[in-house]
Amino acid sequence: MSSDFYHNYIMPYAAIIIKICRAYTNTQEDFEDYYQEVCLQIWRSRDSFREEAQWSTWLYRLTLNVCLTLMKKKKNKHQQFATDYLPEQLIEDSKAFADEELNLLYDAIRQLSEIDRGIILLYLEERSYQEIVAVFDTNANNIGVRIKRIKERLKKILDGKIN
Amino acid sequence: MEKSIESIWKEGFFKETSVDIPKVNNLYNRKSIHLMDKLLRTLEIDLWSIVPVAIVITAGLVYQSGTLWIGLVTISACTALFFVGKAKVDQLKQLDKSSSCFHYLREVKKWIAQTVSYYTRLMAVGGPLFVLTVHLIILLTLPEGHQLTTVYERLGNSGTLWFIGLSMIATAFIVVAVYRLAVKLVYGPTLKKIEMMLEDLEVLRDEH
Repeated sequence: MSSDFYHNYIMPYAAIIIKICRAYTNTQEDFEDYYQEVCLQIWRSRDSFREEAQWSTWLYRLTLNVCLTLMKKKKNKHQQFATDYLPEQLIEDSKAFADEELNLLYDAIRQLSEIDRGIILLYLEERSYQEIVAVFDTNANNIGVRIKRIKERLKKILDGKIN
Repeated sequence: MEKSIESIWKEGFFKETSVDIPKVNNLYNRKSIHLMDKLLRTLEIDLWSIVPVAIVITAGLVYQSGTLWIGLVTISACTALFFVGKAKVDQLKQLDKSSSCFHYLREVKKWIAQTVSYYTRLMAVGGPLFVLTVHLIILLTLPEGHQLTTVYERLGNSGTLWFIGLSMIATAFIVVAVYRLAVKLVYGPTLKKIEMMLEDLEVLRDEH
């Protein structure tokens, strides 16, 4: 991977890649693996980027696809977790941020389905509904309703944890 | 819950003084460790499987030929193969892990190529030599009229020489082919993963 490519095309989006990878992992080791795989896939797949789409949209889609693929591989290997839920017990490594509320929010996000995690992350990153629809290749009418439902779910989970 | 999710997100990341971006080039260490553990486990199983195989082959040959000399030669050959294999595995274990993951895997790849080449030559020479030894034992120790010696008696002297020669050549080809097939089947997937990892590390190493 060239230095230019990494600095020009990946580094500007590193923060969101990290935020997405954090939502699909619960240990520092896994997070670093996921981040690396995403960077490698971005490099390997760069020629498949179509100029009509936005680079950021393509990058988010690729990041989410890599995370979903790696999660699937891990599940097939370990058969430890149910599809949508993590064990309630917090794993120390998952406290990745200084802000405790943010850590709790991440724990709640990790309890969502894999697709819902991706949707809410892009929403929280203030990506437009259009962009979210483009990333997930879904119906524009549904996305607003889905985001509302996800937020309600997250509120319930957080209320349970805080109270 | 008083704060909205959006506020938690914004304020939470506002408090983050820096985003901890992982260094990409160091992150293959865990993968390579797992892969090497798998390779070493397979090699150890392979090595120790020589013992039961040697026992079965020796017992079969001794029973068939009625002579202990064949058993002795077989056991000696298998023992030598075992210790050669052990020395090779020890070599792999002693490769320098303190260098980078990329250099270590490159050394592993080199070791694999050298070991396969070594064993190919060993099979190509050792196989025919073993067959020659068996022929000689049959000819020199078994009495005339024995079911095995009647083959040579029917062929006559020149026929026997041809028979021995051709069987040695055939053994060389068969043993090498079987060895290569076995390496492909047993080690193929692991070797492919090492190759892929090296390609990835090659991509990453200039930058990070």
